[in-house]
Amino acid sequence: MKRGRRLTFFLIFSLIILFAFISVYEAYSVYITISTVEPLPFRSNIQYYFSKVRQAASRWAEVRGIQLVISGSQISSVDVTWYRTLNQDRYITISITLKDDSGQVISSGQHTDCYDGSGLLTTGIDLSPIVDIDKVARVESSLSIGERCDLLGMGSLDVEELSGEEL
Amino acid sequence: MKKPLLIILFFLIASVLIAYSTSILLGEVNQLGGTEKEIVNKYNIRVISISLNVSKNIFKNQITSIAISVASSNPGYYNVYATLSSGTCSVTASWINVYLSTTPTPLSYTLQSRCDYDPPGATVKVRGVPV
Repeated sequence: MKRGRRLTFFLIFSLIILFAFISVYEAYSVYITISTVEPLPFRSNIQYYFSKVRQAASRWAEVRGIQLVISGSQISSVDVTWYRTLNQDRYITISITLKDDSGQVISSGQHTDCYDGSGLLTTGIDLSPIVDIDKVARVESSLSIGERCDLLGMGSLDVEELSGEEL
Repeated sequence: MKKPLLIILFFLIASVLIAYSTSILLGEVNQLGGTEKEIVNKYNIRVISISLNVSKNIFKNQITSIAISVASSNPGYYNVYATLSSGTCSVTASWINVYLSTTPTPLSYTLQSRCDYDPPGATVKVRGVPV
């Protein structure tokens, strides 16, 4: 009988100790301050692609800067700074594509105009639809040099074009 | 004497466990410190702009430096890395312990070894890691 009581007492005492430990660990796990947890990445990187094209030695263009125009966290347009050297007037199309993590296009825009000569330009391109910057994983620019403007009724024929300058 | 005591003890433990599990269930615990119902901070690196500076205004030019404007949705100190890739050239610029907030911070880096800027173009990948 005495041995039975001792066993019961030991069992209860062990359980009390066990519960004390569990309580301490539980309290620690529940009340651990969230500030001690480092921020987790939702998006830790963004890629920008700068396009460069050439049709001839004196007919090429390259993107040198891309700036997202944001309001809050919404991107409505993009300012593209680009350099061109054109020996004659040409239609140039500048395109911007925004992609998400899966590579899907979530917004885009483009601008086509007739350009001539050399120099640095900044062109604003409206995007559609407006997207949240946090959804953008990749910003791609694209330049393409098109037909001569005068072929579509603009500008004048440049004799230099006929001489050919292809490398 | 022993049996009733053990039975009472068993029910006591069982009731505590049920109460605890119920409180967790009702508290919608889904993370550490869940009972505080706070969300673990997550950050988004926001690259507002990138510009490339080139050696000359000629076709066969080289990228000499890059300038970026970067922000974070979660203000704090970050190590920022920008990797420029153009053709076979790859250069990584790093800025250590930079404070980023929702307001863009301008950063620039001059390339020690220049990269040719050839068609079809160049890629710049900007990455931010909390310090």
